[in-house]
Amino acid sequence: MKYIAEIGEHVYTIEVTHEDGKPKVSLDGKPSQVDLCEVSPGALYSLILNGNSYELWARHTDEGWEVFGGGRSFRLQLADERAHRIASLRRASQTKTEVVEVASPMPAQVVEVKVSPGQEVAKGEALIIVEAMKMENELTAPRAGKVREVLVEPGQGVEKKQTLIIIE
Amino acid sequence: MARPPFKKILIANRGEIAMRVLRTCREMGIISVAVYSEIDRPTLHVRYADEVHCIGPSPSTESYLRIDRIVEVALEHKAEAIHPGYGFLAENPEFARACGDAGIVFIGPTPEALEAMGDKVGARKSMSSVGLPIIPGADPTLKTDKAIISAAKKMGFPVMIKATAGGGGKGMRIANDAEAMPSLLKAARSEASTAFGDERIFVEKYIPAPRHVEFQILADEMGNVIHLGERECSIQRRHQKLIEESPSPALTPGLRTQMAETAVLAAKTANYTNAGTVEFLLDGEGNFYFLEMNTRLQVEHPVTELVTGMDLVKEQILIAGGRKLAYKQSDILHRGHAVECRICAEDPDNNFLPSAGTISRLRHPLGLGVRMDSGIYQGYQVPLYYDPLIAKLVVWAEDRPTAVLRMSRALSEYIIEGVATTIPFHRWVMNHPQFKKGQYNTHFIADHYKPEEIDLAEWESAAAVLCALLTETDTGLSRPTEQSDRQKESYSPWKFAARREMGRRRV
Repeated sequence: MKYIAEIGEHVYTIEVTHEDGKPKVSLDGKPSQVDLCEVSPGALYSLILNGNSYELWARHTDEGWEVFGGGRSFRLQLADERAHRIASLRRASQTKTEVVEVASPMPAQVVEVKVSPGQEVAKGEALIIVEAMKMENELTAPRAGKVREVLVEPGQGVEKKQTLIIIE
Repeated sequence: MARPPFKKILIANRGEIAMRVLRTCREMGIISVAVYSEIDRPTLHVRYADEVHCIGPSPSTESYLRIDRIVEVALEHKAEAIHPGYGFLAENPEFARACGDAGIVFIGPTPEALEAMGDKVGARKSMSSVGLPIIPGADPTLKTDKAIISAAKKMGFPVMIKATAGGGGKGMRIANDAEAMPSLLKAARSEASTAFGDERIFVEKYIPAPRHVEFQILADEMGNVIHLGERECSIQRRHQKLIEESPSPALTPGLRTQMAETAVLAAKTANYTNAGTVEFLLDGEGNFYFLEMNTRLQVEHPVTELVTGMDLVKEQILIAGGRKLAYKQSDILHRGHAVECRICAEDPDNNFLPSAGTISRLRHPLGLGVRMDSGIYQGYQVPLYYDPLIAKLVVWAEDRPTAVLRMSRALSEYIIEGVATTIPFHRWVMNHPQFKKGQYNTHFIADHYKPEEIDLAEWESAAAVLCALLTETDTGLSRPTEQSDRQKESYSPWKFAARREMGRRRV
């Protein structure tokens, strides 16, 4: 079966076939040697991919896969080809109206709002500064777009995950 | 081993530094008293100490900063001395005075020395008067924007705006021209006011691309002062140190001697006692300037311990107990190279934003030359109330290149899952050619660190292959208790159909 894995903006295509009861993998079209060992059931895996060793933790949640390896956590969406195609089509039709909510990652106080409604912003552009643990933290635009709404003002206290700015 | 000067010590701190002090107490045969805030009840220092007492709710202003409560606990439980660690009350003269008034020994310098060195402007003035080089600065008593801006013009841009009560990089701003000054002054005052409750600021000449080099000092109450060499702390982000090493790759033997002698002179000028650190800025031409004196045990003290083989907390306790230094300057030998990485609960891929959560999986690195100072464990909830520093990974090796490789190796073993940490960032630094060559300054991160350019394809591919295989064989969704059954059923067509059905529903 062919799978499409999405990690952030990166997309990987994996085709799994079987030969003599053993799985064979093709990664982005390249046949790859693979050996998977389940070290701790449902948690720790040792993957040998083209002779390279990877120690990975993985768990499946309602929101997709959470994998930890190489010192980082990866959030991964995996779908077979058909499901992926349907999802992409649906997303494409929504793109025009899709909004992104920029939320505070922690309880904090708003120090400065750097944008105003209607303003075009580039990906990575500073939107707002919040202060927590006596440090000022800059929150940036997760993607390019137009500021639809600014929901907070300087001096205001905000909760974790509270939406601060909406970009469309 | 010297007979301990105290029977019982209270540790007025939490996290890794509380653990650090507790360990030395245990080695010295001193009974330890830990204090904790409500949220810290399950944490490591509470479980490790001999005696423990709750001092209040989670916010530090209601617990670890409560001078009255801490002194009360010390008196009630007959602790003869208090070790403040770093942060919280460590440099608070009122706390040192309250200890003294209660007949408890404060393990640190005198309240007068804390006061003198806590006033950064005054400290520089007195150091300058005995001949220490300082960065040219404007009259710190200037109040109006107009007067400050005209002084800055006279000095020449760029200039640095700093908080008078400052520390830790808070309230600092760099101004490149006069036009930028008014808004920067306003921002610096506001940040200084929230961080220190004191909005006073001052302006000094900005040294471009400097290195931050500091010297560790030990001074006893008989006036003996020695230094334990330097630490290079130039890997900083927004003036917060992230990586430290000793010795500094930037010092020649001549320059080292000159700076060390200056540091000892600074400590003597301040009538300093106990452990302290003299911070210098070093420019590209080998000119150095006295920055400030830190009147506490530093976060980065382990690198000095590894190259000198000394226990700085033990020395602090002995000095506070009135003992004469057991070492002369000529007894201090430096061997090999040490590097420390501060592991913080911050997301290096996302602007170093603080990351709260529960550590769901933890495996500290081990092996030759590796030291871990940490207060974390599997199940630890990283609170947003305190400093994001959760662990310090320190390595020692016979020379710098080996130490850097060893750190890289140790970082690759380090597993902390559940919160984002700075581990990937440290791995990036250890592999950077400029860092490997020792050619870096305090602008290194701002100039070079671009998280979006880090190639993640290898690990992402591995993760993607893993998830595809698990989905294909369905192992990933089974209950761990059903292992043997599951293996038999790996390719069950029924499960397969069910999985595909789920897959459809998910879209």
